[in-house]
Amino acid sequence: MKPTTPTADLVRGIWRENPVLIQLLGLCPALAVTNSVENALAMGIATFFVLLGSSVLVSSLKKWIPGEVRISTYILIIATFVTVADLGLEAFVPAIHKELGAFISLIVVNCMILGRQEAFASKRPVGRAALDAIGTGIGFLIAMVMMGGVREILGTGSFLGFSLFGPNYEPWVVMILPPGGFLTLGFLLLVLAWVERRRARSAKPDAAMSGAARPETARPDAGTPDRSAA
Amino acid sequence: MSVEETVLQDAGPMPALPPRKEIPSWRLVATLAVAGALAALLLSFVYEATKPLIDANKAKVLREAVAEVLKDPQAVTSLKVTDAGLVADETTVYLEEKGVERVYLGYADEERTRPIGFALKGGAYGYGSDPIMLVFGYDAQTDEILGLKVLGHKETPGIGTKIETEDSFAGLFWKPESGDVPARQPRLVGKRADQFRSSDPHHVDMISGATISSKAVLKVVNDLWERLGERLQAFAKKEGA
Repeated sequence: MKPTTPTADLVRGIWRENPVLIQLLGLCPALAVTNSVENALAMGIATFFVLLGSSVLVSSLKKWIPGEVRISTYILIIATFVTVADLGLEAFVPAIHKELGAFISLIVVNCMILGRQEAFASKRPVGRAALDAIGTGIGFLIAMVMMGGVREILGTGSFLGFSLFGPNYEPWVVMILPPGGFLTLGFLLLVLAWVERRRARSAKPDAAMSGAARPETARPDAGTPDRSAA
Repeated sequence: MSVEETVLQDAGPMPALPPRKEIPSWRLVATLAVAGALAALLLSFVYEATKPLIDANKAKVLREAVAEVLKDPQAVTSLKVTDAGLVADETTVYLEEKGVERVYLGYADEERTRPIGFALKGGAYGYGSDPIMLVFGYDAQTDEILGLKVLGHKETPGIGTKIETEDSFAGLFWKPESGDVPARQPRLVGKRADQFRSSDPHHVDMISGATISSKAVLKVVNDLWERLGERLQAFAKKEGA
């Protein structure tokens, strides 16, 4: 599979270059608002919307954005989408807006979004930028829900508000407090790294064949596939 | 090619860039100005479109809380708080205005002849970054608290949030149906479980581990009562409420 096919653009961000679990970007929301699955989902969807909107806009405007002021322009575009998302959430789902609070506005400084603009959308046609944004957005959503699921199940004994263990479950309160975010993220990364290492070891015999694809995983910014040709 | 080799290759010196065409700075300024103006224009439309919905949501939250703490009043009058006393609005207003404080008087009938009590809204800082906001129902004639509902807070999850979820605390602020235990009355005093007497209407059993959050709840009630109590009683006497 060549790294330039549309499927590759879409799939890359979902797992192999998952923004949170592999690239370790966008950790602020991943730690701060994953104390319940509902919050994690809402944050993931809001971020998805902002990422898709900004990627499409940045990619279609790339000819008119001078290089010297590109970052400020990207931030301006991102901030506009974030404000739209903020007002939209407040108007249509006020309960979730109240829970997420200031973290919606903080999507502006989510480096995952700016990273995709700088590394990918500003150099690619609109279609590919949109696919990349969709993939990365889904990857972010998956990571958020994984974090939120672990923390809500252990911290309150429920999933999406439904009680799982009955009233006698003594909730592990620390998991929905900030330390729980760090613990969960740490263990998730540990498990992923362990799985990845085992897979790499078992794949070693035919390393000669898969060798060309392997370095991609080690390098988060493989949004520049031209390099792999080198 | 191994992983290390690839990384090393990438980290090598960058080839010299061809001289770039100079872009005049007025163009940079103009680009940002145009982009900023477009963003502002778009946002002003979105703001205008969402503002009525957002206001309606806020009013709905307050309306439902007032209805809950006064146990389903058939009619509610909003009263403006002024230095001289309370002034009734012509139509009930739930939307907050800057610099205007309102209390709500609920009636058990639609003709507004049998008043239930007042609903007061206030807030105080507990442990969180934002104050704990709550509404409580108050009967000025019997000096009793009818019910209490927390509107919003930023207290520590699992600890300070017990002000809402712990029944032995939150339940105390609801006037009991039977007469064995009296309803709470303002001038509340927080007590430890071993000192708490449910027969004393000023006693509240505090939440262990969440003292600051529970104290803030008492403070809201006591402060509002201290500030507005006399005016509420005067209004109740005048209207026969």
